[in-house]
Amino acid sequence: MVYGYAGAILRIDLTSEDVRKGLTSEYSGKYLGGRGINARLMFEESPPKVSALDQRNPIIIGAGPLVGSGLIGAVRFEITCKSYEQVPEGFGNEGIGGTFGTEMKYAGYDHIVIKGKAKRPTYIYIENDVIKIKDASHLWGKGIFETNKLIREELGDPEVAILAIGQAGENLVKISTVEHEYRSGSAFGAIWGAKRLKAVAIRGTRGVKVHDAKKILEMNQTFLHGIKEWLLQDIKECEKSRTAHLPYPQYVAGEKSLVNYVDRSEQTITGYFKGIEWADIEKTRAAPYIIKRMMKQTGCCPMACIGMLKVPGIGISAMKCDSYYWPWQMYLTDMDKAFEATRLCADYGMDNQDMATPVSWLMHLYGEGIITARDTDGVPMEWGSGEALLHVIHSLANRKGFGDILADGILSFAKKIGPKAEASVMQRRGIVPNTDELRCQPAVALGTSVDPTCGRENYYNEVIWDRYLRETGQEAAVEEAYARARKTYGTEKAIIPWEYEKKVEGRIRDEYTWYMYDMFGSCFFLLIRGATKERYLHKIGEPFEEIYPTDLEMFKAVTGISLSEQQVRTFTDRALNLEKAYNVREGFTRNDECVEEFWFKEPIPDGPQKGKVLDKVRFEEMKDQYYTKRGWDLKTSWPTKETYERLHLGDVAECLKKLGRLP
Amino acid sequence: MKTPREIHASWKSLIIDVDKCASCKQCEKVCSLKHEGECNPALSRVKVLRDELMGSYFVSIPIMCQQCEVPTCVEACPMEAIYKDKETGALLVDELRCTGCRMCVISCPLGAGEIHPDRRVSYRCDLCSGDPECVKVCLPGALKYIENAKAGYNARREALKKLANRLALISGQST
Repeated sequence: MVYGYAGAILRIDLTSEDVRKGLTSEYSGKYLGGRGINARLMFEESPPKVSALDQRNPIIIGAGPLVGSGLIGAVRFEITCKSYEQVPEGFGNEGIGGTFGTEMKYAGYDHIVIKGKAKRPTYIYIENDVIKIKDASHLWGKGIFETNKLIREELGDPEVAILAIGQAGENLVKISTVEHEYRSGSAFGAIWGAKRLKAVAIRGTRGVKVHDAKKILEMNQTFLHGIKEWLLQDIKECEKSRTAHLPYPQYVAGEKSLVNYVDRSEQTITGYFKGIEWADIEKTRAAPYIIKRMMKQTGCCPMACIGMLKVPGIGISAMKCDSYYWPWQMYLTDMDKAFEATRLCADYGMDNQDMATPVSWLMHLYGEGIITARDTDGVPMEWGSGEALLHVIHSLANRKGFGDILADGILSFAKKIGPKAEASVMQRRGIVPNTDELRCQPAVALGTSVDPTCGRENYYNEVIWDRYLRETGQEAAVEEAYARARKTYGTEKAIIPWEYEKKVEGRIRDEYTWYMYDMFGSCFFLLIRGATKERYLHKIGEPFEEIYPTDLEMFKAVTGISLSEQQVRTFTDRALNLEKAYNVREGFTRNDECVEEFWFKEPIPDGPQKGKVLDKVRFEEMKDQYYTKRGWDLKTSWPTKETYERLHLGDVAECLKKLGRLP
Repeated sequence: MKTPREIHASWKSLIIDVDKCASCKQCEKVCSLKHEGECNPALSRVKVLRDELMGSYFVSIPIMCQQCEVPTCVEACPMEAIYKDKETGALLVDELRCTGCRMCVISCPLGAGEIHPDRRVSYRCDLCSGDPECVKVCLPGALKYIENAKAGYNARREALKKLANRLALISGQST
């Protein structure tokens, strides 16, 4: 009996409308779960050196063995596509929460691979064994909200889980997304649009067999206890005020603490990569804004991290956390405009992480006199202008006027404007940075440069929690963390954000953590909170194997398989090296793994970290150390033959040898 | 000997607070885990029904057997297989008597009962013998297990919170 896994991989060809089923067990011995098997499928199914929009490229959706097992937070699924946003185009992967992953498992599929190109706009409907490729001509040109509504009406089932693209994806906008219940998979919308695939709707009624149901119920209670404790800690402050009378104090409290520690930290940037100081920052605090407009809290686990706001005259939508940084990047004091823009992005299907920096860049160009209102179709890109923000979003999604060029990336737009604009573009591998300050966080700089998906996520979480502990007055906990770091890494500098020492070890430790969650299909965000006391905050600085026995217990309760830490590491190494091998096959070299020159040259203008720059020599040293530890060649950054063979990826090495991409 | 009124007061009811449901469906998952040993919402005693209004936000309502005071299922059952548990007040099914005739399914005003696909008998919420698993995972508080005698009072307290908050917003005392 196989527990946890649903057992089947579904392959759909849109060109021939051919549907096939394969077995997950062909892969699950060597590769683990969502991200692991996705990486292998991607390497096999995607032909080298073809455009991301080519119909031969697959869309791979994968849900790990824990998804739909009933464990709290085990709801995440992974979408893997060739990234259309990256330059050069490389491996793209995004984890999304919601009901799609669980419904997929209930329907009996671990992975779905979609290839080909439909003759007309279509959407796929899957209900257990029944797979229908349906006409979507009437949905083409419609936004996400309406598409969801129409599909649900047509199928007569409001419970169906839908992944869909909006107008931006249809128009092949680079930053278009695949949207699912206010969560989005970045930069994959265009790939769906190129296949004329409007949506995938799925519904399953089969359930997931688990090894030890009792243990799962027990573990859920432990997690919930941890989450409650964390919430209570944060709510204390709010309880004094009347916010505790709101239906969901925890959300307000959570956001409040988030804003408290984010907007005062060294990590965030205002304007177009200026300092952290801005006189109007008080006006853009999230907590007071949310309190008055919070309508409902939703989510895919009981923590319910998505807040639905209702703003009169604009409508109802979720406010995503990145949107709280928008005002700072654009000097925007009108929070309603930020909300409206977020809602528009969710409807058009565009990435709100990728939206603020380009708009802020246009405002910077306008402020410097490099562009005029004529370049942006008559709307002046003034700092703090909400109209300008909305104008950019409308133009981009519909490829209207200047949006037609901007939709191909800000580099294309900069080329049209001239060398001055080109010089001010911030991008690495075609992806714009967001508010993360790299100059005082070398570990984040390292993470984002060596990550195969060019992720901007703050991998090095120990850094954040250090600050969190200090700001909540838990100085003693910080000292304890330092003591642990000294024991594990030999120096407390390993967990001090702006130091360079031992950051490579920390990065690799975090890779094991993140990949494990992505492969299992459980939520990192939930588990670090669910584990506040026992498992995360008070474990900062400890080595990997001492932190995550609970996760292995989790895996055993669901699948009945005992994994060791060493096995998790091997599965992670295999997934990571496959993702890397994909990029190597596309022609990536060490030079592609970089960050913007800006961070090395321009010192931080203000705040507690004033004057710091990223040290290029030490940054390259860190990369050297990382490559050495990973078994990758220093000159090219390509994994060596021995590394592949150690991971039993001999066939991958063979394939790359033929292409001359083995060092 | 307890009086009928005392017995009734000692029972607890599952109270649903629609406003607080976060649509996470965790209750469905743990219910099936507890009763069926697998995670399968199709076999769950509680069902979260979701509807999308205007396509832009989610309204969900968990629906399960409300252990009616005058149960139509008991009236409708020709085999007299449904009885009220004296400990918890839950309506239980005597599986030896039940023939799976579906009269209880048809007569239930909430659609809370179903026929089990394997055992082929009627099944519904049994209040987990007085310790409902769904309530234990409902962090937002959409499901609560409250003594019958306190249910009304509790609902009034919840209403008061909302009103008080509204007043606070008007008078500007809120943060």
